[in-house]
Amino acid sequence: MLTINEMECALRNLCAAEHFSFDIGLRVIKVVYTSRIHRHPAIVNEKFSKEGGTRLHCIHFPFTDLDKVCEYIAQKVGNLSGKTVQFTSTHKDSEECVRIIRDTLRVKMERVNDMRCHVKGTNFLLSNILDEVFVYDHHNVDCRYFFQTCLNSPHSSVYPYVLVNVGTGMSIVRVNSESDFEYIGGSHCGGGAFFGLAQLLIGSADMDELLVMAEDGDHRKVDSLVSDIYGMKYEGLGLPPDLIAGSFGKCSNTKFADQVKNDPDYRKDCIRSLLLMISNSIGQVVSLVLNNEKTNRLFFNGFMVRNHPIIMRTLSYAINFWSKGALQAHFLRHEAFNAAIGAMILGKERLENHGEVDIEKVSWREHYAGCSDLGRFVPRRPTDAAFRGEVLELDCADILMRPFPLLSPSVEYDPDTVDLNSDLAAREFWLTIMEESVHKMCSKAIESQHDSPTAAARADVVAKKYLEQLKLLRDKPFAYGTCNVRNLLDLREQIFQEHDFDDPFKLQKKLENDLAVRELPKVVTKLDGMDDVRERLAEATKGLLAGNVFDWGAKEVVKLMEGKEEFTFQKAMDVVPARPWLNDDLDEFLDASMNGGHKSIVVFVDNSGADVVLGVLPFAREFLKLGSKVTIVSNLLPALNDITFGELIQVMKEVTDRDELLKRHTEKGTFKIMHSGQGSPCLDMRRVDSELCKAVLDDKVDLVVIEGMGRALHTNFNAQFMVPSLKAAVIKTRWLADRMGGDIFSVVCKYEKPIVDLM
Amino acid sequence: MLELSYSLGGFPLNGVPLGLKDEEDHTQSFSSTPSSSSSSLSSPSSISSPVVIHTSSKGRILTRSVSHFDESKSYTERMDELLLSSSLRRENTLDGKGNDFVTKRTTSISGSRGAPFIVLPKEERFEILREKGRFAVDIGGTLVKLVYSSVGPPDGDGTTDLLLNFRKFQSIEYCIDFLKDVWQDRNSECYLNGTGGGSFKYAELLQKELGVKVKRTDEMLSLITGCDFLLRNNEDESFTYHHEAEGLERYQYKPIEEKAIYPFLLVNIGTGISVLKVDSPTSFSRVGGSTMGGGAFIGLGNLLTSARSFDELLLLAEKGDHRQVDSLVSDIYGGDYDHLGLAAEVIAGSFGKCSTLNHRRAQGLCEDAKEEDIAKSLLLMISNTIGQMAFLYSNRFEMRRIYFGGFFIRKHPISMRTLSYAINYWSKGVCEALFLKHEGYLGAVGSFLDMTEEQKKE
Repeated sequence: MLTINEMECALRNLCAAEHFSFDIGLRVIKVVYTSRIHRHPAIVNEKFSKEGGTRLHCIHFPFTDLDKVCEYIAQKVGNLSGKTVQFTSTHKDSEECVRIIRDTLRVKMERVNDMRCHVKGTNFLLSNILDEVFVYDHHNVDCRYFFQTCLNSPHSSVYPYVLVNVGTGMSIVRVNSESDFEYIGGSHCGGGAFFGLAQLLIGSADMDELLVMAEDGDHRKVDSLVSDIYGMKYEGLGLPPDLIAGSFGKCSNTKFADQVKNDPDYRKDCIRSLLLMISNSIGQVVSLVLNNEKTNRLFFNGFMVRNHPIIMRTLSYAINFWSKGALQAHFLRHEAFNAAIGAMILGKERLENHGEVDIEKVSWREHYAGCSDLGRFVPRRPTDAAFRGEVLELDCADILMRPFPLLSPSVEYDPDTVDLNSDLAAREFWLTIMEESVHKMCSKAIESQHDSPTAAARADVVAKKYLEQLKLLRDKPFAYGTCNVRNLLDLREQIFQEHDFDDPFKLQKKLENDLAVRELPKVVTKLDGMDDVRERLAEATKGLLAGNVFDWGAKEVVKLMEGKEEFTFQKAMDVVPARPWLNDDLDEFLDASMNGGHKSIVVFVDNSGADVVLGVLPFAREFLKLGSKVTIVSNLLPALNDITFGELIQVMKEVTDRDELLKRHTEKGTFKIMHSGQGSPCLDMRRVDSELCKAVLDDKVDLVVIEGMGRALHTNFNAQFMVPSLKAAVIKTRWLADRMGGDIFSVVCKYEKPIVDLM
Repeated sequence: MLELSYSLGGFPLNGVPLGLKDEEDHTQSFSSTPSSSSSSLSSPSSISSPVVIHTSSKGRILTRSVSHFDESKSYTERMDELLLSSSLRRENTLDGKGNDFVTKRTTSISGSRGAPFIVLPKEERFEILREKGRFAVDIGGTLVKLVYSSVGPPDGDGTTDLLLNFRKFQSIEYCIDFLKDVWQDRNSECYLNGTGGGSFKYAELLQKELGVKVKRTDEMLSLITGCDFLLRNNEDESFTYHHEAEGLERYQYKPIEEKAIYPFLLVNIGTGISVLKVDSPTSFSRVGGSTMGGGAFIGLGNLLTSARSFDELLLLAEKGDHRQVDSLVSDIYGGDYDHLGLAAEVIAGSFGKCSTLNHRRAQGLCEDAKEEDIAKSLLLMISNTIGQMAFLYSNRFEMRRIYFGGFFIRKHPISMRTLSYAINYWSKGVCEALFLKHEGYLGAVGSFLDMTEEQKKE
């Protein structure tokens, strides 16, 4: 039974809850609700800033706790009466549950077709959660999970895909588009047969128990193997002796069947045989049905499959075997919630109620900090009992995010340079550095709210939580999907925000911006005084790199900045080593720029202060002088000392008052600022603001500049674009310098032309 | 893990009292009182009975054979014998119209003791068998199938037919006893043709006990050769099942022109299942299979019911009501599931109701599942899956005719109905499930036809 404490951990922010939907299953019930959350206003564009946000809470709890959960919700949520709650169900006994929900919450109940819910919900998960999809490789020792992200992009579509739902039976549905799907096959030999026959064979249908047994059992004691039929004289036939010829074949001998029941291992042996028989059969039927399908995107759903390594393993094997490698079984991290989310999306009342977010029209992001550890997908043997494990939270981005349209279609984009799932040394380094830095981060956070009496206590909670999460990641690095630097940093940001530290570096950033703005004329005057255009651009590029030395996110730099002497831009220029740099494509870059190769450029910027004001703006000015269009792109939401869109607007106001050239181009529209929609020290090109995507195409951007370690080294270092790109950063950590074969403050200036596809 | 052997039987192993009483009687009688008096090459069981050659035509059903049946036998057994011995309504497969089809070549005939045989066609290659009989065994995972030649009784004009006799045994020992008795003129120069997994496993035993050489024939090739031979030479070899009809009308012969035999899909159901794509007698491949076949049915049946044999299990299944243990569409949706076009009666999940048995029993909502309901559900689950799989393979290779072989079906109406229904349902009427009178003997017949050793001698 659930405790109040457990419910508090899972069912959060109920006082601001708005809409509910339920998915009523035989063993577990899933509830999904939206709530309003307090959030620092984010300036989305000059006209529109968003106060607060919407969160989607998805919770998974045992069937038997329905009464308790409903009462808890009713008590916390205030008045829901008159509202409609959507539900979907795949069993007849749901009437009793529906009554409990209706009477306890005093709401109207609306049933939604379960298949439509599955499809809608799966569409939603695929298009909003990164690394949602994974394939299971049992024989990979480092990591058995290989994650993928399926998003709609200009070059590829998630449709069509095939959804196989293994519940009581098994159904195969092809999803052709957002709303169009068709049933293409199914079987009544599925989860029901497994649990039903298990119940009949050994008197238990407890999933946890059965799956543990199946892991331990030896099916060879009840199945007929090739060796049983051929004796040990099958050489030359090419058949492995352990191959199953007939499930339960040995038991077809009555005497044997009578005796085997007394075998101490009988229960687990026959459960394993049963599991193999049924998952093989499912795998075979699915691969046969899909034989003529155009897609090999095949997702398995349903309680039978969910997080159960042995089933994922046998299904993956069977699909690969029967399709001769043409198909691969894919699984979803959060498929447990797809029907409940689908029901929420399909609810009529909510859609008709204007002024609320249309769940499907905006993007959502996984709110790691709110998901309880297991809910974030940690495959495990025991299941339903682990209540705490069954929470997923998603934050509404309030905007629509799309893949950056200039990504090369011929190279698969993976934002992360290092995959911490497979790179153990890198994982250890990053986890350690994150652990070490958390207290420093917390003191910054307390400083940013020095007038708040609760700040210190909250910061302690943040540190504690983050350290717990890091510990979890040490054990199970695949808890977030692919473990990488990006989501380690994102997770930290989220936990800070969760505890009302919207922006720990707010004061610091303001201070540095003001300083830099005052400094800017000096830097500009120096550049403007140079006659040679090429030399000037070279100097501006060096300035771009020097600016990037200023970074509160890097330990080595913090030492410099906190040192006794003032750390000036000129000092930063001196820190930049002499050429040749670690990656030195400066000449190629200059050549291309001089030849008028870059008519429209977009620059993804990094830190506030000297970085953006003294590094990026003078660089941009040089291109404006060359007659190019320039767009500067910042984060939307705060992350470390990275400049946010709101701050950038403020900075530009002040700068254009002093800088004639920037003012003129701003008015002309040849210089503008935009945001990526993100709030991370890294940059994930799979999801940027759709407005930016549109602008990049409208402006015919022909150079993508990415600056900073987070955006150009930890992520995007290997990214390929359809247009030339410049990745510029200064290496500010010893570890990365060692890895890349350079020294601290080594310079990366990587200019790449698109790989031309010669048909 | 998934591979299967090619030709597997579907019967319980040694010492199980099976429903095939006549055979059991024989094996017992041979082991206790060897009938040394019988002529060495004659079938001891069928020689005494009058040979009836059926020349049936559409609409004329010969019920005469039924009178031979021992009333104590189960419906399944009787049906098995009936189909092996009588002629039914015939339909020409080629034009789809029911034709009066006069038997031209060979017809099956049967003795009262139920050990069936067919008359071998009058071909040069078989003449040698008048002097010396030939024996072939197909030793599967659970059953031994034997075919052997004998000379039939003289006709009115003094000519004799060569007969091919069919026998099955639950264990290799019974088979050896039988062979020792019937095969009197064997010597160390003789060959016993053998196929199936057991021809590897028991080769030494056979050589030692019988004092003959064992000539192994390729399993798949034997299966196909046997199937080809029977389809070509026994007009009434294949039939379809029509549940909507009454009595024997449910069975319809499907003779096929020699030139129209290929291609076809052969689904051999033994301990496991093999699916063979057959393009010609020499060109075929194993395209798939499954571990969920006869072994799973009998094995799970043994673990879950009190049935002591395959036939008892089938009898239980006949009495059962799967709706008591399966989850139907109506159990989930309260009625039809229009969105997917599924009727309320459709099984959504086999044994679905059993998974909550503990829970429901605790609430006093139900009693234990009845064993006959379990048997029925098991039979439906396995035969439906086989049917679906067979259709899916036929669809993949664009085959319209699917023959079922092996010992699982046993001309059992539920199995045939389920398989026919599944094939018809999934293929929207395009494909046809065809059953074979000698379904269990295909491999043995094929092995029998391998005459390389005799030819070498000549």
